[in-house]
Amino acid sequence: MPIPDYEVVIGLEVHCQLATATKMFSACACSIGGEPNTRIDAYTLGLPGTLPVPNRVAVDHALRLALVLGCEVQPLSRWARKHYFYPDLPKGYQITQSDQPYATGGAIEIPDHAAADDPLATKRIPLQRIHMEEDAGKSTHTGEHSLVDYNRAGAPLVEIVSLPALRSAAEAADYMRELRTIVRYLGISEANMEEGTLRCDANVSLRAWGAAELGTRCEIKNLNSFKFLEAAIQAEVRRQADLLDRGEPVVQSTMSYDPGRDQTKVMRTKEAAADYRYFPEPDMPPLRIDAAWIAAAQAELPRLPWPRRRELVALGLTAYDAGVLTAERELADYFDAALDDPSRAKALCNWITGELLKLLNASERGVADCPVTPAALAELVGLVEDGTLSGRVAKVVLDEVFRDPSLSPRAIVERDGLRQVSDADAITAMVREVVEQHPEQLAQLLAGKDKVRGFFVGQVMRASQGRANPQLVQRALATVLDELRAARGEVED
Amino acid sequence: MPDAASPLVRELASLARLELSAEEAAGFGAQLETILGYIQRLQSVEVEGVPEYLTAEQVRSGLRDDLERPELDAEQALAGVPVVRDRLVAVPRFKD
Amino acid sequence: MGAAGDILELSARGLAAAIRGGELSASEVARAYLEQIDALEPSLHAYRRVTPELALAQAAAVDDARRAGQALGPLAGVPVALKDIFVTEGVETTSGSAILAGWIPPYQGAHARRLAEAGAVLLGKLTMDEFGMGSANENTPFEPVHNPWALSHVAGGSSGGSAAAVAARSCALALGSDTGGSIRQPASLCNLVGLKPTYGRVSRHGMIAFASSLDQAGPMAREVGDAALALGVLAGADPLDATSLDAPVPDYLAAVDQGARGGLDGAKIGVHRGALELEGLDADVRARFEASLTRLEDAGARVVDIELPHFEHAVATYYVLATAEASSNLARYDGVRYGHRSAADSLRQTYEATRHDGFGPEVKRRILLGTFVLRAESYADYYGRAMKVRTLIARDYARAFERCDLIASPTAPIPSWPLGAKIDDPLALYLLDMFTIGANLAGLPAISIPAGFTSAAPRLPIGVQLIGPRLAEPALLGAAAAHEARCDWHREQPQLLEARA
Repeated sequence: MPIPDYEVVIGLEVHCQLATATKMFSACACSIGGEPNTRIDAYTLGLPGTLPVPNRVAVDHALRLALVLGCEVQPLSRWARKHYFYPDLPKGYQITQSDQPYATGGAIEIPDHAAADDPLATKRIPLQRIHMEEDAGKSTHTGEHSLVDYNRAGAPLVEIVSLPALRSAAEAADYMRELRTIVRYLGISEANMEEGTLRCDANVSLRAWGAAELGTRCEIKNLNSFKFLEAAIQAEVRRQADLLDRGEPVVQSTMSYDPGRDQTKVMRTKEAAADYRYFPEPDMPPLRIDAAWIAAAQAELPRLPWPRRRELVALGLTAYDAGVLTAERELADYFDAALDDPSRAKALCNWITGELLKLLNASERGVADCPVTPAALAELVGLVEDGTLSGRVAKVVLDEVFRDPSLSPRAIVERDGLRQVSDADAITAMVREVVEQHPEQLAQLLAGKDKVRGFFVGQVMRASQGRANPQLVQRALATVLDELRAARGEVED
Repeated sequence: MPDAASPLVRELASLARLELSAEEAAGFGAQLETILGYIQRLQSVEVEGVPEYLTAEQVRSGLRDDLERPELDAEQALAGVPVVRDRLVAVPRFKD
Repeated sequence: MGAAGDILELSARGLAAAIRGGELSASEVARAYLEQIDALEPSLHAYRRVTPELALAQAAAVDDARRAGQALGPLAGVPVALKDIFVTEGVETTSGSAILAGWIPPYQGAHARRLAEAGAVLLGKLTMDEFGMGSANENTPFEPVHNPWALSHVAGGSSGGSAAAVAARSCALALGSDTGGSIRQPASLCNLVGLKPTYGRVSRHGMIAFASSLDQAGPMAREVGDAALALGVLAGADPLDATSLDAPVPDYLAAVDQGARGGLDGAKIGVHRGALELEGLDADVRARFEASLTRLEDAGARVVDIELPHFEHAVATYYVLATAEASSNLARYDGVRYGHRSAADSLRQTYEATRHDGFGPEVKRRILLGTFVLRAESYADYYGRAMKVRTLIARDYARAFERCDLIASPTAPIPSWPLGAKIDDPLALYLLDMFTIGANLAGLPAISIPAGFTSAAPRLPIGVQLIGPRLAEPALLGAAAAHEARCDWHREQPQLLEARA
């Protein structure tokens, strides 16, 4: 989508709901969905006399995110109140962090598609800050009423604010995907855009190429899917480019995206923007995160997708495969656990991304619920690689282990006598037998109908119950045919 | 000193979602002017380099464990809501 | 024992002992107080709501427990009443505002819970200035309270109902809340002991917020020992208040007894003389203050001069910060989830009409002022600057406490005044808080104690205030007890009761 006249500048504000048992500031159950207004308590409703008490686990989750993104964690940060009147905001203010957030700086790595020769090249998108806050409830509108459900009110959020360093809608989507992968690696959020546990507002501006100053930006609110995120940014870029082409100014505004028309439209302009009257939250002490807390969180951080992708490529995998394996931490961990011999990395990868994921998808299970242990898969791959099992039989064995994880591949092989037959004499004997049983097909083959060769290989494989080493079968068939031709030539002579 | 006359009072009342009669607005305007005049004295205090007071600064972290603590059931909580429709809190319809 | 008059003259501490010892039943005590309330309320208006069924049931439970040989709590059978700012589960709680009229809290606040666990008997909820904003209990959509010492006069505020009820023997003990002097000033106007603890010493959970960084709950009592008894029950960390302190709770009664026996040896009482020269200090108040200093010296204390360089900025600082927090804390009263809702066509009109109809003039005034100081364009010059001056004020006290153990001053610059006399001059009323506000800004404990009466009629009570360093409640109570041991004012009955007798 090149708009060659202007450089596109995008910054994202991403809200991510932290996965905790209770809300940010009260001991009220916190889960998605369910009957309206069933997960509310006195604090959630903003009843008089109630006070916020921050959730240690929510802060710990937020801390881990800041640490993996390389942010500077502030030893002392402040809660702040942001005021506006809205029925889904129970107290008339939202508790957030304003001028003293708990984390500043940091960056998220996204793929650098400009570096065509290096599929693992990345571009660092620097962050301005991350802060914690509580969510609002949800309003729906019907007839003469607007109706409010406070189940979501008070849910713990982190807001990750990037610098305006993204240069296209595709990069914005990449950024969201990387961020989603990271928070899922950390296990701190479901990060599901459709369910609203990952949400995004995009600040978009255009400027002439080479201009030092940023253009006037507009903020597109509530982008709740990857598809809409890209489409909305593209639509907004078109709108702003049209204005600039006509010599009209872009007015700083808050926009919404209409997917039906594929257009952004102005919700309100900056002049109508509220004065939020931020001030330090007096109901809570400042938040202190000391060195011991940071060290404890640091000690439990997982390895991140980009370093793991590089390690996988170093093992001989393609960048594509490395991307598939690291899309989920569970899958990457599974691969690591199953990799007992680095020389088998490629084979293991193929088994995981091929057969295993097929079985998981068919049974609608995630990697975390995979019945085949990494050790069992490693054993299976080992059996294939050392020639004990044919690939075809190995698939059958994997099926069986998937159905009954109490069995090991080796045990199944022994029980059913599935070892690949690699004894050339035995295979030659089988080939002779099959050839003798099918004189008609033999005649066709000898007459030059080479297609029939496959029929004989198939017959041998069937006779061996799939155990015959296919390469040896091919070789034996060739030998037997040569013998027959030779014998026939003698007769004709 | 800011002009605490009616336009300011109107703006503040709007921010605070307070309906005010003309009489109230005029009365509050005059009183705010007096009070703000008194508060002006703070401008004479030397505060260079002085940090803002840290409220509730203390040893205790003030954090809680992530444990659910059933406090009141949702029915009790909803009992005091002025207008409820199908478990939802109802207000006059507004646009997003 | 048994004569109602005798019961009503017992201190809370004395009542608790008599009930524990079986000399009195909790039920007869509760009945005596309920009769007193019935008799006096028409002229006093101290109660917003009386809860006789609850009181008699709680009293009966105490009597049952005693008969069954169960251990009794420290306040078992003592009839108490709560300022209506305290949330009481199942009992209407309004914080003195029409916007909460009829609101029945579905949860129990920390104060009502702790008092109930200590065996106290709840007589009802006491009137107050709306949301704690006022000095005379005249900022109310309900009846203003009258001072039992002179019915034509104010009882002070905002805990005026609490002060009037305790002074009139309409409860043995009451809870008030103090944001800028709202416990101490009415205590001084009604001849009571009023204690504002260190910020965080008592939970704020279930105390309807006025200004969160300044609000603190505390007891109002006829004697120092009663205040100590109540503080022991109320103090301590609360997991539902992140600003509550988890410092150990000392034996406050022991500190009182030690002080009463004369143990002020060597204690240094600091006096900021400059404050006494400020305009508006009543001559009787000044004379009673000097007399109290002499009494403290008699008890072994030494009076020293101290300086509080930013003293005269305290009122301005307070009215920036308290109104800012109030404008924020009162944003939740929008008619959506609880309380009053005015019918209107649009959401915006619903908000504006609800808040117009539900809030009284002083609350609106403070919301407007608080909204002003928090606006983006005035924040730095007002809120930000006031928060810096607050630091300077807190430092002034810290420095003063390097030279002395406690700081003494009058509680209020003037004694009580006739109802209605000052209602139209908000700034004049704000200036009456000049002695009490510092302790709130610096988070320090402070107590007001009876210090005598005006020389001319009507004979009106005057109080003296002591301020201590953080968590120095034992020292405050000890000094207050030493002072109390050297005078009889706390035993005097208001005219209202003398007339009845």
